[in-house]
Amino acid sequence: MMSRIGWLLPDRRIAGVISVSAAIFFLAFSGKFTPPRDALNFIEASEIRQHLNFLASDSLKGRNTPSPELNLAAHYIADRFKEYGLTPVNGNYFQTFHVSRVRLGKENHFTLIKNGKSTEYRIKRDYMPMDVTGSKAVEGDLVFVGYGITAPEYQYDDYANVDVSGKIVLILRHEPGEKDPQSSFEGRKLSPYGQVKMKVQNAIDHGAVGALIVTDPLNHRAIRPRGFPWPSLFPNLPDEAIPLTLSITEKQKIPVVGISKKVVRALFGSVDSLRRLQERIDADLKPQSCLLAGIRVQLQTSTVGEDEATQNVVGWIEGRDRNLKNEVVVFGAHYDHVGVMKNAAAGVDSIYNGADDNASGTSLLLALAAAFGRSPVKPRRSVLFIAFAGEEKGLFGSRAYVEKPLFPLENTVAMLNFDMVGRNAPDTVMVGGVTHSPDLIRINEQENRFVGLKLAYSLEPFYARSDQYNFGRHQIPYLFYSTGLHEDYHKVTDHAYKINEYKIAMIAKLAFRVGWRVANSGERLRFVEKKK
Amino acid sequence: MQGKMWFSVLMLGLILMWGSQSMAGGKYKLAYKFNKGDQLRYKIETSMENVQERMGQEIQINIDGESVMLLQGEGRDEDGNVKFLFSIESVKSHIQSPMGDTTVVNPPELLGKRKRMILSELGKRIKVEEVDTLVLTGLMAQVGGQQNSLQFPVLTKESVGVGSSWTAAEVDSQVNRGMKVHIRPTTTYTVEAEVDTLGYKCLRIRYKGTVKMTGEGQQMGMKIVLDGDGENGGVLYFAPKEGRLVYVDTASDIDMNVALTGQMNMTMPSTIATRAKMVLLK
Repeated sequence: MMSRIGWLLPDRRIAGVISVSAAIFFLAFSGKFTPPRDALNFIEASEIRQHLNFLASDSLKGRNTPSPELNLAAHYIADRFKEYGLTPVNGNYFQTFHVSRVRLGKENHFTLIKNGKSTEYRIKRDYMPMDVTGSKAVEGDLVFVGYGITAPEYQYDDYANVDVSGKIVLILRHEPGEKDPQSSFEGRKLSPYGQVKMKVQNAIDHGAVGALIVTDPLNHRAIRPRGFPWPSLFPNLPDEAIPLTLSITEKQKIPVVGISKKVVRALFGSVDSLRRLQERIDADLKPQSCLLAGIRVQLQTSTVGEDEATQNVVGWIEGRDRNLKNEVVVFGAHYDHVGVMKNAAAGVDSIYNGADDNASGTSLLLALAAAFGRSPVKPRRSVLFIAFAGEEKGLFGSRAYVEKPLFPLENTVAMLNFDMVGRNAPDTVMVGGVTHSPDLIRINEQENRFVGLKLAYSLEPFYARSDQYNFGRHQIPYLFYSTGLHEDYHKVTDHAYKINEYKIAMIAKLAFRVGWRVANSGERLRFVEKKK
Repeated sequence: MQGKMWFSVLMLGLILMWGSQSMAGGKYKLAYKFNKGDQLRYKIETSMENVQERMGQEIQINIDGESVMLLQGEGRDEDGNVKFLFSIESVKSHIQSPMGDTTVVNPPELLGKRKRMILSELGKRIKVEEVDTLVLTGLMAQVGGQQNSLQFPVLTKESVGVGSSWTAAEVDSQVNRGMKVHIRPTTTYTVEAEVDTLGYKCLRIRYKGTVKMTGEGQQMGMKIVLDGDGENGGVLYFAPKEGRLVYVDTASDIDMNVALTGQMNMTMPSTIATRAKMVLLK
């Protein structure tokens, strides 16, 4: 369409300007992207109120993951999806995944073989299995990999010149310049690269079969084998305090232990030697990674856990465009909360109803599903609705989805997430995505001219705290809608009567417009990696 | 985050308490004296680094503090125990956490509020009672809670001189904001030398020890369990004639695990490294 207008005009420069303007006009305001009025009318506050009252009712006992009451909520959502005309994915409205409470098993061993001489170390005193450890026994050469970081945006890679495939790696905690406000990472604030979980994943990605984690001595005095305080080793700690883990990640795990000063001395002669090595890395950000010659490591950790099933609820509408229907726009909200208070006194409210967190977002999701499903006109791209379980346990539902996506992630053009959308000022919504999703932010602002909400942009620090994070990790542009924290956050007083369903309806109308436009536009939106 | 902050401050209090449990004397009998009318001012400098992991995310909280504490002697009770009032005259704490930096300077609700302590001659705490009503909330409640933690090294009843050594293992319990905490330090003291320090004839005593901490309580509907252990060491100067501490320099490394059950199940391992200096002001 752009080039055809240009050819009809005599002056190419004018034609160019007009054609670009026309493109912008059509992109933003043409009838093609205008949502069907009928569809918007399907978003009703009264229906949102019904969803809220059910999902946040005492009978659902706080929708803990996993629990029979969460399953009831799942069936309620699936029934609504069906009622609104959404199609089950692969014949099923439920995407089942498993969670488990992992405990330390009995077989845990750590031996260093240095120049042929073996030294076996004692668990808890000399080494401690970490929470990310796997159930495996491995043996291999030991490679020092500095901080164990691969960070292209900082032009830093501890693995640049070493091959760790089939080997065990020794990793320093934290990151270069940890105490330096001017550090090339994020100053004194620990970047995600400094987190052990990310270092271990990076080691696995590079083919390492085991990892030893040591506190970096340059910035920390206490070189202790801090791992995970497994109740079998700390009998005072209650077994029920062990957090749930997502079972699908268990098979990928490798043995990972924190090590003590004693082990550092055995490897380097002294803690000072390791400190000097760290100083050299920090001095010019040049990795000092190397094979520790003459040293082999035997490492075994064992874990046990029983899987329990839970589920995301999914429904979709196939796009009407032959070419674009293989691409999908995802709308998501978590429907779980944190259950009931244990050992509460008789007569005291003990149910965490989670009306705002996140019956509100789930009700909004259902309102969107109703609008898309009941609309006689369908979008060009497909749209997928996901109610996530296990968000409160660590974003499990969205993690499970991106690990085993129902539609290819490379064809997922955007994700809109709703978490806590029913409280605070009646006309204001906070929107996250400024850092990574500037195109979506722009579209959201343009569409909001038809809705009139006040938009606030203070959600960036909460990026990793709701389900959009797992889509962002896969470079999928996202928007995160929330109306923010309040005094009832994670309290038994988070009741349905405190929720403003009219506000939820307004946010739903905005999200519908944004989603409709993204689902109909030929444009692929950008995901912007964070840069210094 | 506020939860993590109070925990850190609580730990600082406990560690200071434990860190200061260490002193002794020469061919001397060692005993604390708080004669009526004695006024002792101590300057206390502390720095603490708490590295904590929560659901796989590491969080660091650093607290640097400087305070002046006043101890006013009240003589002895009918059982021969020593009595004194103690209060904070000034305090400045700088807290660094992922939520940002905070500096607390001389909070009026804390300054000058007195408590009375009754202590055995050898340093065993018998009783602490509030003299001035202390109404503290939030972070200040924890800073103020440290006053309860003020404790003294348990001395030996044997006469000691240079080269003498003894081991003290004293169990102590504290209750703070619904948490009951038991501390079991085992500390070995060695008298190294007789020295003149800050105008006092002192015994320089080197000490090294271990500690085990356990605790439990309820907060915000959740059960909280503490389990930790660690080691410390340092040097202290005790003036046997006057029966008072003159200088303490202590460092400790503690692994502390916190388990929460209730609306969330969570176990948070942490390592707490502390350095503290206490000096008697003229």
